[in-house]
Amino acid sequence: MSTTVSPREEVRLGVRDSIPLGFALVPIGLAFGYGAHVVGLSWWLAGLMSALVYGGPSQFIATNLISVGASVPTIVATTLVANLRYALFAASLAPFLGDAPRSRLLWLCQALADGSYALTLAHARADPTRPRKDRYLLGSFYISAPAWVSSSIAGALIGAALPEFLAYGLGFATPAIFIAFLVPYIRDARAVTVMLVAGLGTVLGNEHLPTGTGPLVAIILAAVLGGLLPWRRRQR
Amino acid sequence: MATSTALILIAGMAAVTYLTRAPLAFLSRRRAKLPKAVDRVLEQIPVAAFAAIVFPSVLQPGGHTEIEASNAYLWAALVAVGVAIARPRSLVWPLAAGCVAAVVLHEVI
Repeated sequence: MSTTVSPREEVRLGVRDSIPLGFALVPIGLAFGYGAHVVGLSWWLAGLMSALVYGGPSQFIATNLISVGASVPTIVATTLVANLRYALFAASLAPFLGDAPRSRLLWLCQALADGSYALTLAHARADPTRPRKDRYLLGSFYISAPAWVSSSIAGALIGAALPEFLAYGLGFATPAIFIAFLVPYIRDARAVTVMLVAGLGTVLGNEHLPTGTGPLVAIILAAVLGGLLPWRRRQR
Repeated sequence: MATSTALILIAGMAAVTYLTRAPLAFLSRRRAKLPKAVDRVLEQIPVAAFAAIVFPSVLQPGGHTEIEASNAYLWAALVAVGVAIARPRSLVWPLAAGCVAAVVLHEVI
């Protein structure tokens, strides 16, 4: 495969591949913005949180915690736990970004949300020899960040006006796009096991574990099981 | 929540979240290779992370577990999986088909 890629081309690929993700982020952003509005955050605070935290699930947890009157330290600590999976994302993506300047990664790491991580990792694994894959992540950020922040603001301003059936359909955007990310990975018994342990573990964890810890516990448990159990090598 | 409290909250959330992402800059040029076992565990992270998003958003759409035929997201998820298998590497098709299926099934069921 070609490894001579112009910088602009790599950014452009990231932009192009992220357009569907941008669409998927809009309904989630609308829902977050509306939730923030309901708990008394004004539109610019909702937008500021989306821009600076840039982590969907933790922001939903924060609005829930605000609504039950949790203290600032409680919400910040819960955010840390809910977002620790980004450290796992960072650890799994970092080996592909060895030729990127550290000064850039120090701010570009902020782009590491679930969707852009999924796209950039798939891109990197498809051709690990490609230079400067951080530019692809940057391209993905160019689409995802404006989509996320603007839809959060819109949600705070007009969220209540969405018809119910439309909101219900748009609510499926998140599972739909992550199903598209997930399916190509499910090729053997190990992947099926990891998927079921992480997925069902999160469902159970959401019911029985403290807020925000369910996904983290389930992801670590599933990854350790999948990585360390003595799986037989896949034939063929 | 007062605006000043909200600003402090957002600053705190942003700071701790940044700390979770900063390893991207510090692990990219490590000198020593990670142990094989760690690499194998990290290889499982995408599947585990995506499943941890998909399963609850389908099985717990309103925040509580709903594993019953009247949950249209369950059926829409089957549609999205089918489309994702038929159209690998496409995000648009599973997205469009899944959302349309969710709306239609919600109206029908």
